[in-house]
Amino acid sequence: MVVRISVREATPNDLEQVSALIARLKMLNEELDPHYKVVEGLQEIAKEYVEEKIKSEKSRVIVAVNEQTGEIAGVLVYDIVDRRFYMPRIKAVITEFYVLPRYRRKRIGTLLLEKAEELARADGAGMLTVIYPSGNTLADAFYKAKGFIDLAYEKYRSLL
Amino acid sequence: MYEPGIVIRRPLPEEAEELAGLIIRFYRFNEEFDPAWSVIRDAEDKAREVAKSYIEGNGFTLVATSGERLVGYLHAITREYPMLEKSVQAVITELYVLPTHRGKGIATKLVEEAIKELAKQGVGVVTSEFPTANFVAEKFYKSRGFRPYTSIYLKEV
Repeated sequence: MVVRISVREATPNDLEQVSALIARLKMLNEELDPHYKVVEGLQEIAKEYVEEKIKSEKSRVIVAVNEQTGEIAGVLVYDIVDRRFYMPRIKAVITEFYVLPRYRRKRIGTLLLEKAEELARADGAGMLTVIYPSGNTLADAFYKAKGFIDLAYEKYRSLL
Repeated sequence: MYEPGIVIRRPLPEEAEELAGLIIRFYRFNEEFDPAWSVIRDAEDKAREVAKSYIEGNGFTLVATSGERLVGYLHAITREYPMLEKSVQAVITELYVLPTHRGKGIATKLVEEAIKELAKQGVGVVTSEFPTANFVAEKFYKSRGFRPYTSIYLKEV
């Protein structure tokens, strides 16, 4: 069956579904790397987070919606960041990106990414970057195919 | 190398709920690697049924416990290949350890115990099936002496 997908910015009405997707993304990260152990009350915290991001002037929450059912199939969140010392100064940083497994292999990730590019340009961004856990090789393959290259490293040492 | 206090054993009837939780986590993790593994909606009820059937002896199931808590499980089935010298093969179809208990040798212990038990039952070969893209499982089995054996290709119809 062909699924008709539309891509748009999230509204407060999408809160439940979008936060469920964000929670799933965090649980996937937990599976791939024990350094990303999720907190208790993940669902509630995801809800607060998405609410904040939808309201924020410095972020955008983009969703892919199944037009037939209204189900949200995927989500992308980016933050607008001023690099201050470097040109171009404004970058859009993708901080969340998740497509429900049953909607994979339908180019929904590509649609979300294209929409993010369009909106980020309109927000004045001269570059688009993404941050994700280094254990997520699914993301590695996706971004490599989309022409992203390494820009920074985050190293870690436990203090506990 | 093993976490102290980990016990590997058969699941008990009163552990159906906990085992169901692990089964769901196993399937939700694997569906991330291939949409053909997409899990049904409202999987909780089905997982409870599946857990009960495992406990009642459908296939071969082991659980890993830490204190009172189930932290991992293994489920295997057997297949017969009358034309093969090693005609009875066991297939590990599910293996899962909670993220909080990873890196402590629990999955290794589950697999070792399963192999020991299954060998006693006359199994000549133990295999494991998982989504091709599940690099976590691939790395795990390869480093424990398993080798690629059968490829499965899929076409959705």
